[in-house]
Amino acid sequence: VIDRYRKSGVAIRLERWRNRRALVRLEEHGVAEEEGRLFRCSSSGEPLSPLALPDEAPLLEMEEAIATGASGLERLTIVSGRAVHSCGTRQWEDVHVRVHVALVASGRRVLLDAGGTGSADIDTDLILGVGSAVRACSGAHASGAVRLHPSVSAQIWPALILSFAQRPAPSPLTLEQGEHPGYGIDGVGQPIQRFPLFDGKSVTNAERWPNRFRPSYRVRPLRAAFHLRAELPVAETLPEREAIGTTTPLVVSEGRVRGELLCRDGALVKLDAAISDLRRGGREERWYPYAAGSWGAEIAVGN
Amino acid sequence: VYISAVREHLYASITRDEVWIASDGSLTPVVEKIEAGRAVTRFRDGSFELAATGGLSPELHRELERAVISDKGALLLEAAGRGGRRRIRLIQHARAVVHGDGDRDTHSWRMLLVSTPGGRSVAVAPGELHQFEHLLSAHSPALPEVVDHRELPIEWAAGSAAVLMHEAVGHPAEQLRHDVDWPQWLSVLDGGRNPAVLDDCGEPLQRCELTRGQQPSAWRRTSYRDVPMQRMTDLTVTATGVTALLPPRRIRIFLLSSGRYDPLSDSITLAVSGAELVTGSASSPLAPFILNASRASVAAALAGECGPIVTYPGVACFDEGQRLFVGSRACGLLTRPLREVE
Repeated sequence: VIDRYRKSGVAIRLERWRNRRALVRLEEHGVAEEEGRLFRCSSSGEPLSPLALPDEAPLLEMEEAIATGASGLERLTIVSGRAVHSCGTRQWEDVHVRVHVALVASGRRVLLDAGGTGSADIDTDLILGVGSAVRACSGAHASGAVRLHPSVSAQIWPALILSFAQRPAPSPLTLEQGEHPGYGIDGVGQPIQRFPLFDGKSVTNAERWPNRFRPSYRVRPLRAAFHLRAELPVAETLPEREAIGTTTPLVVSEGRVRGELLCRDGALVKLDAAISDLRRGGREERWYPYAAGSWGAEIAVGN
Repeated sequence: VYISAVREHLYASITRDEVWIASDGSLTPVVEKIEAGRAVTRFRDGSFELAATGGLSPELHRELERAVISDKGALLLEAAGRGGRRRIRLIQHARAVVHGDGDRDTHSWRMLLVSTPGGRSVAVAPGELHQFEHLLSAHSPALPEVVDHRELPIEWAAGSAAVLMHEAVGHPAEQLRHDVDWPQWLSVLDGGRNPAVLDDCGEPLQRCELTRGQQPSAWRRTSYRDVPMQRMTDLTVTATGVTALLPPRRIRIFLLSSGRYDPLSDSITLAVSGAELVTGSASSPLAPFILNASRASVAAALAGECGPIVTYPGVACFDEGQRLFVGSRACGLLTRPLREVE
């Protein structure tokens, strides 16, 4: 069976790292095919349809705001693009803005990713808030309950589904593949619809996940769970201290989530909580580009 | 440091990247990627600006394509070895740099990355694999010895000191970090061995002494989509005047599977995949291990030279999303137990 995928894309990429800055305007077209075990792809000179480069002005504004407002900036990448894809009989388009930030202080590195279909989806205030927290961080640890900003809880779900696929832990939490209004088609032209992944007891085997993720035409599309969304019991009260970043990747194993959190006031908190003890704060959710997409929500952790 | 040398130019490249699985002599292709494109590259007001586009003019395409289409049958068969399972990756790359004043430079290279299920891997230019075949096919016992590598001196043999210095000296020098005092007898030179080869901005490579405050001069990039960065090209590690006597009991390292420099902790991490415990005239294979050390402790542990300059299979260096190959040669070096210097 040969699946033929084509993509045309344009993008603006702004990079800052090690006292260097770069602005890349990119236009490219590619073709990919799978034939049994063989994955083939090549760049092509033929566009699927003409595309105009995104407007640079809002990106330059965002770059300026982050570069001047966030202390300890080690690396900043802002990408804005649009693409036309075709696979089989389906043709579809999408637009994206992605921001990756690395901030360092007190011997620690905080990584932050944000994304959406436009600059308005990027929470620049959060990035600046993390910058302030990094500046205030003395390396001292605090203890006690915390609430996780949606950008932090969104990092838990991809780790959780991988861990539970090996060894599920009973929990009042359930996890599903969700939807996103701007990203409704997967890497092989199939619609992305809600799909149960963990019902509180058992995990749906990854071989049954209906969709495949193709972040680039140069990459073989792999089965993935998109736009992860968790349902949890509601918290009775919300802790005052808010964690807005992580200084280590969050790890889920044996039914617990572990890592180190950076709080808005600059305090560090060791996270070691049972997944079954996580409680939901507000109803508001925000999408983050972790794995194939993850919806974060405010989460209370007894810790 | 050398940024004023970067002139506006057109950079064009074709990369052909193939992966094959060899199993008991039979070869199966699993990945084939061909990427061609061009980018007008300029440096102004402290920033790089790239206008990058996929595809090439027919003339440029024909010229560069010739360098990446090769008779690879014999090459792959040699890489497949005599039996067992291997993953073979063949990368062929050609690039042209064209300046507005008519200056033009083309360059091409091929690299073969061969790895075994046991975690051993080499990155070599085709035709050189036979020199390193013994590293891939070395017998791995079911129960290799396990020792605390921090308690023992280490002999960096078979050119492996080039990887140690790649991480401890090379990457920090790329980032202009020269805050560790390296012994005067140690020299880590980058670039300039072949004056005919220009960098990926079409400028001559300079010979840079990385332990004396210099930064690699070469602007390198993986493809037309990537921003040029000052990266190592061809590392040579030598020592002058300080010879170390090999202690009878030591670790001898001859192959590494990966390495990393972390600027935040100013430390290096090396994954050692080929090593043995030497005791007198006997030696026994060691299980793979991870070596972590601060750069300062590596400098403090250096005891001296303990062998001639040897070419190490090349290093496939991944940094800022760009994979580049760095030639690597080093004399044998001896380091004292890391525990003693920390």
